Amino acid sequence: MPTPPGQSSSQPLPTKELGYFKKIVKSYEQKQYKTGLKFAKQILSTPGFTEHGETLAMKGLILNCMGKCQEAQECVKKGLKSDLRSYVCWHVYGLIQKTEKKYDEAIKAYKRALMIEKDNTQILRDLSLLQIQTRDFDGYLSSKYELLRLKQNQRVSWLGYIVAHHLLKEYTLALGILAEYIKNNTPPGYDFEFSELILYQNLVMREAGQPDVALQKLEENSTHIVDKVAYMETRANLLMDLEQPKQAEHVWRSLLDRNPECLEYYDMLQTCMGIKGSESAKAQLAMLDALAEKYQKAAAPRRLALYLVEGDELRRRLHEWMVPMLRKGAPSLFASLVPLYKYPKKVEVIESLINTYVNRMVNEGYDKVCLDDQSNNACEPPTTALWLYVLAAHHYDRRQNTTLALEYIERAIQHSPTVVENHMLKARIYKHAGDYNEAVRWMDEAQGLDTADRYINGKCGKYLLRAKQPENANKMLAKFTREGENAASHLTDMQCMWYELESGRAFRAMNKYGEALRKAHHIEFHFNTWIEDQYDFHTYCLRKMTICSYIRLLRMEDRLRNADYYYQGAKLAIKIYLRMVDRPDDMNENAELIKDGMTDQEIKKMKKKLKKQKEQQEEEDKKKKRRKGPQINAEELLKTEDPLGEAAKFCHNIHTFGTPKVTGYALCAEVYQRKGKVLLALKCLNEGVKKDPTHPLLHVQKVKFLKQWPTFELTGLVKDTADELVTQVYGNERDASALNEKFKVDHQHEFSHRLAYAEAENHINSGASLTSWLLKSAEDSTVNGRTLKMMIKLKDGIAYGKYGKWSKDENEKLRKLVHGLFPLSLDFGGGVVHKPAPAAEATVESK
Amino acid sequence: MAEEDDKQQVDKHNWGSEELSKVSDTREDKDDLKLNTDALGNLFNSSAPAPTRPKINIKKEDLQLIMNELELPESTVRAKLLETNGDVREALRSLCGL
Repeated sequence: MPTPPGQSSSQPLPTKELGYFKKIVKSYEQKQYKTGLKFAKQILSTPGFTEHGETLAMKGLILNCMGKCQEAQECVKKGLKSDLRSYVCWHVYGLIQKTEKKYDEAIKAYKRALMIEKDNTQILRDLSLLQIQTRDFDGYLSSKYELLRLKQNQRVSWLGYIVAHHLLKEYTLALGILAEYIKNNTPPGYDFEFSELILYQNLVMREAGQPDVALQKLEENSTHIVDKVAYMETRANLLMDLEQPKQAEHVWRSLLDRNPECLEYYDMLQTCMGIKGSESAKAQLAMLDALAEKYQKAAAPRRLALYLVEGDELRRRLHEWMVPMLRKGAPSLFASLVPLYKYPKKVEVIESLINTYVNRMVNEGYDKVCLDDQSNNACEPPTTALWLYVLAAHHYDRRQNTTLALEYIERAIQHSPTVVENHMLKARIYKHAGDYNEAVRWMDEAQGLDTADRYINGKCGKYLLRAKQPENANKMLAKFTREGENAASHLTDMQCMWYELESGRAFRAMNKYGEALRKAHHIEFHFNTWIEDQYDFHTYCLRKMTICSYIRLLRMEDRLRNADYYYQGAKLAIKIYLRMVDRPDDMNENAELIKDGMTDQEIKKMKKKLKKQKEQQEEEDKKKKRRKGPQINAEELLKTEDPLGEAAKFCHNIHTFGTPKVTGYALCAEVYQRKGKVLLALKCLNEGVKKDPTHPLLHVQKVKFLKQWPTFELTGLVKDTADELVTQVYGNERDASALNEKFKVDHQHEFSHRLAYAEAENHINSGASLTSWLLKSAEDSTVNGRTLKMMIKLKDGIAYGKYGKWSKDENEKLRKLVHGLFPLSLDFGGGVVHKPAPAAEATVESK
Repeated sequence: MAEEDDKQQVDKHNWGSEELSKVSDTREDKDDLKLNTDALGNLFNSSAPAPTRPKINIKKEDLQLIMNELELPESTVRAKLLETNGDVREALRSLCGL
């Protein structure tokens, strides 16, 4: 017989007070916190019970729910001290530790409570939740065992016990219990939850390596399965596992009948038919054509076919693909062509088709022309010309021909001045050309055409951030965030990641490294929140029987930081931490205000002014003080004593979860090498080599590490492992210079590889003068990849000191050279010049 | 009037919170299971709560070495050493991706 709370105490309460205590518990359960506190006060003001442990514990618990965490902590601790033998005090202490995210402490407290009160299901339940949250599967199993023993007729007890076995890969036991459960609880008719359970059983069987049994059970229960698509997909996959491709093909085809736009089905169909791989392009094409014939309205088979053909055949198919979409006015037309841009020959086909259309438009007049000769259409609708010009602008933008791209978008705007997409594309062209201010101007114009569209509002905010105008960006974005609240903090509450990332980058570009770091830490904070958020689903999913989704959720959470946003945020942070080490003076954002020629008095004046500004800012911040959300202080972040250690925290999450990005490994290798963590540096280099052995950024790190390699003093096991890794990464090469020279020869036609060679060479031999070679590289038309992005990297790298010393003249030479290549780029002194400049500025400012 | 507007504002922004609060609801679960009572006894007899594993001796210095070299938490290293039956060389190689 379990002891009810209030009687478990070593400080037993008299009848009247016990009645109050029961009322406290009841008030807590019904979330009537104020009433609960009132009763607690009644007991605590009774002489002899002012230190009553369990009452103090309950009071603390209620205070915690009311958000008074500090007070709650004190109350609960006091309660526990006065009554160490009460399970209630320990349980509540655990609950409070849990809300503070101290999971280990909480688990210990729950276990202490259970030592006093062995069969308390509530404590067991709380314990099991934390065990699954921290992935202590063994502990989870034993808690679930106790719960099932105590509550045999509760469904969740059974499900929890089954899931525990499954997660421990004890498939036989999991399946045995599942079978027993299903045997006794098969419903007569339609039942969604049972359907989910059958699918879960199937999942376990597949993971147990029993596809034959899984298939058999799936067929037996087919009438119970409500989710027909899941049923069919599972069946098709099982048939493939069992090497019955003919039958599987049949299932995939019926799935295509349901949804002919699902790309995965086409892929699977190819596998089943044994026509995967580029050597079977003909067979693939035949299959797609047959399906296109069958599904007249489906886009997928027609689009996939475009990627398989070349030359005249491509031309014919593109013609059939593009003309209807131009007529329809599908803005996604260009997106469907993007995969073709990898192949210069195919790009030529696209370009010649576009030019043909445009010429016919011009020569025959857009109200008379008919692009489609066989069709009965007498002439094109007037919008065909518009979408054709948009397509042409997209195309030339992609080909980095800014002049033509702008010419076509102008034609499109002339044709229809109020189409939002036109202005967006114009902004995009300017962005790609490097004139971020002009890009903002046009994005703002687009935004003005449809102020009720949040997408375009977000785009405009993003462009403002690119143009280093975070305050204007916030004003823009505030149109859609909560009224009366700062847009930035609202977007952080909403875990809006693109915003965190873009504003972080904007601050970095403005040398406000503390603010930039803060944004990167917000991203880290959001990921932590999502990991904590899964806690509620441990009960919810079992109750709702959505166990397949639950298992997927657990596995997704385990790899959550694999997401690209995490990588981008981490990259931002790591690079700033490295800069802190390399260039500590950069961290003072006002450093550049104090110039060489200033007198002491002027400097003093400047400093005074800055101090005043800061005080004002702090005053404002105080006014806007908010309770929730991450409390991360930009200045505190900059004051860290151990930037490499902080960077390594981000690195840890990148390489342990395995990033698809080779640059991620390069970045981690740099941090670990500087930290003197040889094995970690080598591990990251090795993983990077596996992904892309000749990646320029990885190469730089390889050279840097190899140069330092002889200086590491390693012994024993660590040395053996390191030696093995070095051989994997470098083969027999042990000379950093030789490695670098070979890289130079092997990749002499790539600009990014040349930059890598120069950076590495500068690292090995800081006296090396590579300036003229780099300048020549930037000019040399036989060198590929001389994009604006790479030129900006070169410029930033020079400022950082990656490429040795550059004189003022040399920098100017580079500026002129790149300005010639990219006349619109602001970074190299270009950009659109507006004669009555204030007018253009005003349109942005006033909105 | 103004107050009412305020309320509506809040509602508009918080329409999902009620649904969300249900997720963390800890109400007592239904006892609606049909069960063959023998079944549970059989199950418990056939499945011990904690599967017994062979005892593996993990040396403290091995743990420390890997934790320090690879900056990993103790739990991860311990799990890996269990996997390799306490073989520190194998554990280190595996964690280095070899």
